[in-house]
Amino acid sequence: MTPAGLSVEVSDGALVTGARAAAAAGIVVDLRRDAWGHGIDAGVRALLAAGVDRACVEPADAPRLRAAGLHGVAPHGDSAVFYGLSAGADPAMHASSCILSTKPLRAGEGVSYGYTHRAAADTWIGLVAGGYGQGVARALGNRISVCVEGRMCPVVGRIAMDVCVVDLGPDGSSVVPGAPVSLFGGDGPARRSLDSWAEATGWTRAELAGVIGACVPRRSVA
Amino acid sequence: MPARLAVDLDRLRENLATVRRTVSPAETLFVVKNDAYGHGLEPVAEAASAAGIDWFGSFDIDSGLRVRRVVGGGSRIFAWTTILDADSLQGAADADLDLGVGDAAYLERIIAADRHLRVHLKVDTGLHRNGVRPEEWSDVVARAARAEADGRIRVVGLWTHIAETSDADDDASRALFLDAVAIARAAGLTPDVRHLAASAAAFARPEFRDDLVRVGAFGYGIRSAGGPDLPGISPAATLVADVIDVAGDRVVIDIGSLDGVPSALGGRVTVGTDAGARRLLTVDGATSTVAGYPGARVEDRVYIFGPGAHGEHSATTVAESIDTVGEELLVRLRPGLERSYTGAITPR
Repeated sequence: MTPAGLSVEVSDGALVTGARAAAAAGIVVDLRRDAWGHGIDAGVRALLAAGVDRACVEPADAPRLRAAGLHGVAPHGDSAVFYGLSAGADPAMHASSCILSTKPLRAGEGVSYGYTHRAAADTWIGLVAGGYGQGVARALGNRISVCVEGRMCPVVGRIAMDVCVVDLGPDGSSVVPGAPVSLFGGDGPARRSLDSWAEATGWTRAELAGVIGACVPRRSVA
Repeated sequence: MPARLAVDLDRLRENLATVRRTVSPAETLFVVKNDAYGHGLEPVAEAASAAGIDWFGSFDIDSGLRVRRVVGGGSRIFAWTTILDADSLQGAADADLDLGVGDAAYLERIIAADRHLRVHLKVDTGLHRNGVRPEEWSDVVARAARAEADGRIRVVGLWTHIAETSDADDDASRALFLDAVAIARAAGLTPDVRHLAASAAAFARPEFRDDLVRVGAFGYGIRSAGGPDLPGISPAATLVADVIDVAGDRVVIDIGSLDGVPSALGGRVTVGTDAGARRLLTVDGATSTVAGYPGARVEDRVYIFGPGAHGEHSATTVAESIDTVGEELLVRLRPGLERSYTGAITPR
């Protein structure tokens, strides 16, 4: 088993699809800031695979990318199309974590700083690796749900720097440490959760996903 | 120079000196998780060690290993994340880390590893995150005492973490903690250190200091949201950006929301410039815009937050404008963003 924590997978296939859609719409993709936290290499690979030879890149990356066949130009249009970060879109990035431990929470008991959540009835809660230190915006506490073993479970209480807490429901004792937690993206019920993240914070999908991608371990998948 | 977090290590050391003086005779555990709250783990740990800190809080094992490489043997490094895999436990043992344990299943994994690891048992006194519930505490400390007698672990600490909801709630948590300490002692455990206070309680509630306080925020000079400025505590870090364009009545700077500056700050705060405070107008992806000033030029500096030398607010004051905490603005900064350092690291 690998060390527990929040991590992201970036889908090459989704980025290639996004590259084609962006090109068709006349968008010049913004690859700055490590391809919005998706990884510059994955971004370049997808654009080249889609036959695109121009993008907005960091000045420091420009010579290397020009040699690879990608020319640095000014951005144009909304690059969210490339990353699947438009409203209602499926993101190329999948953020997931795991349950570290579970415990009962009794009716009336509070959770996390300030006790901003109190249990309405006896339930089980799970401690999830990942907090605002990994880019999970602190404002999301009590505002979103994440997917645990196929079920959407609300994040309860303030999000801490390194962890958050989910309400697993009265049957939550069956969830074991190490159980996967999907935050957004992928192909489960949390696929389009960034829409609710954006609504809860007023922040952009790009920064909500991109800072997580920049902060945590990342790998490319097909 | 590109946008950067400029860290003043002398100021960090002054903050730590204030913390140590305030909480003495309790010892200070300096929390350096999340790359030292975004300030950069290695320079910060080296400066803190030189300033006399010999307890560090790393949260995770990887950060603990990094601290160990900087500070060498002798210093204590406390890692309190719940570890699920055996390899990480072996790494913790090899690096001589102290482990914070707030879950019975995790305790069993440490006992099974049989590496004579130092353990700090955590009781849940109301926060309901990590921590053993009080009704399970007797069983857990009895189990730990047996494992200690068998030479499989050493229980060196007892701890909890409080919600800072109200003084009354925190008093109730402390009462539960003192009960838990008594139960552990009755079970035969003889821990060296008890600890429950972080920055705010360590300063405001002397009776909460016990043997050790765990201080992160105040070491970096991060004021508590909604809390007072404290003498001898001031921001060690300044977030600096450069003007890359002057466009009419505004300037464009080279930092944005993809660097970790929340877009919601646009229109809500002022930032520091060479001409004093100016409104932060928008925070875009890789850039932001700031209200212009006479004589603005490319390569001028803009100060997003810091100690205030150029009219900028502290990270906490900026954070309060969007209902969050100063810590979030620091740890949200992209790891690839440049960090620069001033101030001396002198050996003790």
